[in-house]
Amino acid sequence: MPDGRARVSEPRYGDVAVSFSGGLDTTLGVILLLEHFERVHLNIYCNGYCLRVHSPHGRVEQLRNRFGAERIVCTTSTTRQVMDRVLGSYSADLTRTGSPLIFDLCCRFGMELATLLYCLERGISYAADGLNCAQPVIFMLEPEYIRMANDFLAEYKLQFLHPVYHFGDRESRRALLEEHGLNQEVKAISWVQRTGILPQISEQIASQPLCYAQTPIFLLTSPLRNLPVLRKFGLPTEQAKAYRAERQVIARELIRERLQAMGVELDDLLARRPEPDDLRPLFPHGLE
Amino acid sequence: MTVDSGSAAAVPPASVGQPPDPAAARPWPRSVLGAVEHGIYRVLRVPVFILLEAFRRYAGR
Repeated sequence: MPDGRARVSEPRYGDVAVSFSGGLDTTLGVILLLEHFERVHLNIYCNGYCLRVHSPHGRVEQLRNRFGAERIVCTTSTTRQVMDRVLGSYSADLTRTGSPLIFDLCCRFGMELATLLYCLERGISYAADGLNCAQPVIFMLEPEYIRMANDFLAEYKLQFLHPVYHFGDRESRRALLEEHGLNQEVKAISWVQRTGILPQISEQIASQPLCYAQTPIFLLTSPLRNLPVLRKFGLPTEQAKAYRAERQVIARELIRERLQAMGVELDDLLARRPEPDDLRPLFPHGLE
Repeated sequence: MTVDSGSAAAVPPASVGQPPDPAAARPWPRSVLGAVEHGIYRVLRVPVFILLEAFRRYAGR
């Protein structure tokens, strides 16, 4: 093994796919996953509204240098079509649900679907993300919502792992990144974070894409979302789950169609796919 | 935030065993404020949603 490359123990499992933003938590997730998986597939997505989609590529290079290029597979792809299909009529659903956070929901769900298709095409049984409970809370960080996503992926014999969900505060997560020489902190943003006004803003912004369409609703993921009137624009977890349940119906059709277009019948594919082992116990900071 | 709804479900609500909330006995100021807030939201959301949809289309063009 080349000098300077990190390997804590011999990994026992093959491949895992990660929706990779290049930020603090997904990078930390990759470090934890590499302790148990031979290869991590980093999926960088552009939802069609992204600026600086190339930003995580520097981070990918750092990870390759640190852990070995053969262990880091990277793909950058668009999720615009998937997202548009899942989102349907944004305008009508804004009025129906009363919250612009349905855009976040569908963006994230679109990335889950893209990762799911990636795994089905390549015979991968594990997917992971960088959700962390210390991030400012909206529905997508609530365990009951995350478990709904887990159950959806489990329908396709895919286990969804969340290895950094309980991984302490931001300082300790950043310290681990620093230990691996991967901290790309912008100090001025760290200071803004610590003031508590915009705790959701990422100090690793240099290595992350930005969502252009999301800028106007940035307030709804900050503490200001609890202000009178502004809080009415939020999406309570129960409502988010109900909306997601609707979207999952569309997603199931989409998955079947995508596979059919490749000449693969979903039922045959699922019959061939092995049930994944439950790997959650390997990640003590993960969501059970 | 419910960090883990599984374990949180086993914890009784904070109000159990506590004296009744005095504010609950006079609900009208709350509901009036709530109605005002809701009214502002209903009026405000029309232009907000139009602007958001316009911005989304512009951003995604």
